[in-house]
Amino acid sequence: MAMTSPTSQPSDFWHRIQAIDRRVLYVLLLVVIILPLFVPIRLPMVTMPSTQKLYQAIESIPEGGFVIVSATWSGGTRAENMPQTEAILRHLMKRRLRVAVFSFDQQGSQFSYNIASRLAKEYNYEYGKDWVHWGFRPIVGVVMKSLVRDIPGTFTTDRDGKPTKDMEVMKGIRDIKDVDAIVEIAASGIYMDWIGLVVGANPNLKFGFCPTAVMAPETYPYMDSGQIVGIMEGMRGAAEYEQLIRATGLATKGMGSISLAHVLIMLLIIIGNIGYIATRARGR
Amino acid sequence: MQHAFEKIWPVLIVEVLTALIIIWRIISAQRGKELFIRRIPGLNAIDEAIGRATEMGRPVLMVPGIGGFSIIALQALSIFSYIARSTARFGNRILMPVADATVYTVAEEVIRDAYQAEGHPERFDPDSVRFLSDRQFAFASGVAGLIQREQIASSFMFGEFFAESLIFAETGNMVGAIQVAGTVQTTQIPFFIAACDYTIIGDEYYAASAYISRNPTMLGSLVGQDFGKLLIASLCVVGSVAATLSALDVPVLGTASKWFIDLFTIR
Amino acid sequence: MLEPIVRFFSAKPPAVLPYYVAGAVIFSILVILLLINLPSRMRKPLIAIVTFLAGLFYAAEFFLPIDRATNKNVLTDYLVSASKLGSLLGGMTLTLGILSLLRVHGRNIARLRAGWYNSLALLVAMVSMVVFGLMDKYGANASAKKVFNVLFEGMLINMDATMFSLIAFYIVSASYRAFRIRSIEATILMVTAFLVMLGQVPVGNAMTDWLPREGFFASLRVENIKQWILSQVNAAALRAIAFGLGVGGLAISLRIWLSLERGAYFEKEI
Repeated sequence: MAMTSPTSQPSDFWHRIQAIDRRVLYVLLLVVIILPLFVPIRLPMVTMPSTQKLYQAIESIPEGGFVIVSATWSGGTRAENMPQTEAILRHLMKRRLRVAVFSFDQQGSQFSYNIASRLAKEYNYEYGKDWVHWGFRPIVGVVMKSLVRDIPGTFTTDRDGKPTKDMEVMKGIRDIKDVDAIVEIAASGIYMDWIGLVVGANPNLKFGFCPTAVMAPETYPYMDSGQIVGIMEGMRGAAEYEQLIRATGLATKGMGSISLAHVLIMLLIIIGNIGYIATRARGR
Repeated sequence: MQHAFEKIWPVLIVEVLTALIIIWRIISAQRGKELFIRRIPGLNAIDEAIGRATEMGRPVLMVPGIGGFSIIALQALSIFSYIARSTARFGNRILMPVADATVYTVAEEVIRDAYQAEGHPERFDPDSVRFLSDRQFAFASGVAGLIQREQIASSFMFGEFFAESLIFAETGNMVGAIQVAGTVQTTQIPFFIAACDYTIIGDEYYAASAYISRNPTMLGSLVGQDFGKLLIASLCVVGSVAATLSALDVPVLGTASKWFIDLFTIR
Repeated sequence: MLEPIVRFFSAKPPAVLPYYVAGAVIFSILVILLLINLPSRMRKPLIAIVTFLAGLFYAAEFFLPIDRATNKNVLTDYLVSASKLGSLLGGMTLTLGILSLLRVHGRNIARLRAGWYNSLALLVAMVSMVVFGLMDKYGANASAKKVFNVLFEGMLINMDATMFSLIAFYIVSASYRAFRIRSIEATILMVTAFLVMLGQVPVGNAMTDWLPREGFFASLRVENIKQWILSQVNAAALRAIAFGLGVGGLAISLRIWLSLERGAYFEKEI
């Protein structure tokens, strides 16, 4: 192939930098993601108002308050949703709030149980007394409509099939009016179901949402309207939250990789455009 | 809000009013009123994409998303019915992987029917519509594999798409397929725009069947939709003015504005 | 009013359960036979009536006044039964979906078509997951539980994550290829994208970290510019799209509910 001939347009330098082989791009991305995991990069991070609002909402719950955490995510979005789940549960346990965890996803149920059990040991949280895991619950609409009216009736047993009605953690919890906050960690638009079916039923209920970063922008209108109290946006939001609760975790460690990956994308776009502008200028 | 009456009754009024406008426009269109519909490039490209597949002798891929059986899936099937009629005429091979079992059963019927309508029932291959998996990424890997193995010439993606959208679109791009996509998921539109040749944005998705078929009922419904949007836009303008007057505490008007805002405030 | 129906569909004691199941099967077969043999002119109004009643149930449940004490209206309790009916129909169609899989891949294996071993792997994986999944849930065999654990946690979850991570690679190649400043609009789009990307990550924060965090100049910090773009400009566009989609959805629902739609899905008379 004639690489240097000025007349063979597709193979000249300016054209070539517009069409770098995608395998090269993939290798570059792999390198910039892996490298910071071994060589940590320390960069300043400013907390977004959306994360701050979620943190403050949890802070405002009186001690012993009851919070439901729903972890509707699976292995696919583990990188973003796992640090979010960990950060929120850590905060709730630090604040000694009563926690009920469940999931509309089978994998999410397992993941959230693993995380909560690990943190429960760290914060001396006793199962059944301080926290409970209601397990995997299918059919979103039915569960949400039902929990508004009757929480013990909706979650009669925990993930292992043990009855929940005598558990101390559920003491005094009858319906949605007894719940202080609901935090949904999800990779889907399930927040619409919460807003549509649950949030309005208790004017004092704080509803926090922790979506993947790609989902976050579409939730902003609902934060403006007050239907969502705060949003933890993807891994970046989780890193900010970790900063707020002073616990370096998975998200903070991952921010270096994310930073470099963003820089790589921008550089590639710039390189492609330099080639494009140069080719266009010569064409004139 | 579990019920309309829990918080406010204006929901009922706005919804019923919009519904009545839509029905009124449908009836007037059915009575023969001529209606105009603007050009949607993405939908014009459908024939071009099918033509290309015919020239290349390679299959046409149709993906109805990974959502369940809903109006979004039905709309996608309506578009695919039109595409299938063209492929039946030209004798293209089609592939339609489906992620939801209910959508699969209806999709098979719709495509079979399209071939029958074109007078070529023998050209319909029952294996062309196939259920792959209802798990998001199992389905994504299945479709990506099909695209690579079959070296598709054209790809149509209409329906509910989530994170798998870019996997489909970029794999299609790798094999050089001409791609047209449309989804109601606003988060996925940027991915389709980046990787596809044509993308249908927002409520153009719901206009697609009217645009393709020029069916009076659908065209009337489309005009009715525009009236509905006009109603909502007017409420937005009035709401913004009311919020401003209320914030400025203008006498009389301020109180009326507060009442208006309260009327439409839900949690 | 609807109480006898709800009682009829409620859980039954094990002793009489087989009779109910047998009765349901016979009833379903009779209904299917009846529907198949129904003349076309009767089938059409029947479909219209069933569609209308099903839609009316949900609309009425939403709009009928509720009792403040119980937060319910007369139809609320029947929602669960309606959802179960939906799940049941979904379950039945899943059988058809699995049959489709078996048909396509069984034929590939039987005719030893190119890549037949992939079809074999798929069927083996599917059957193993079902068998070990059932053994894990209902059996007491420790080895079966371990195998299921390997299949579910060791393989499925990680394969899911692998597929999802592909998006990162694809977004790099797609954005590199697509972002060309061909026009003024494309240039504005690219600059905006850069600002959002920079505002999203600490490296962007570092670039404008020299600006004060409070006061007028704070609004020039890249993370604040990003926040403004997303919450003001982008959110406004998303709202507009959401309104359009909402009204579009309402229009299609109305057309289906009232059976105004003809020829959109099926060309022949149904």
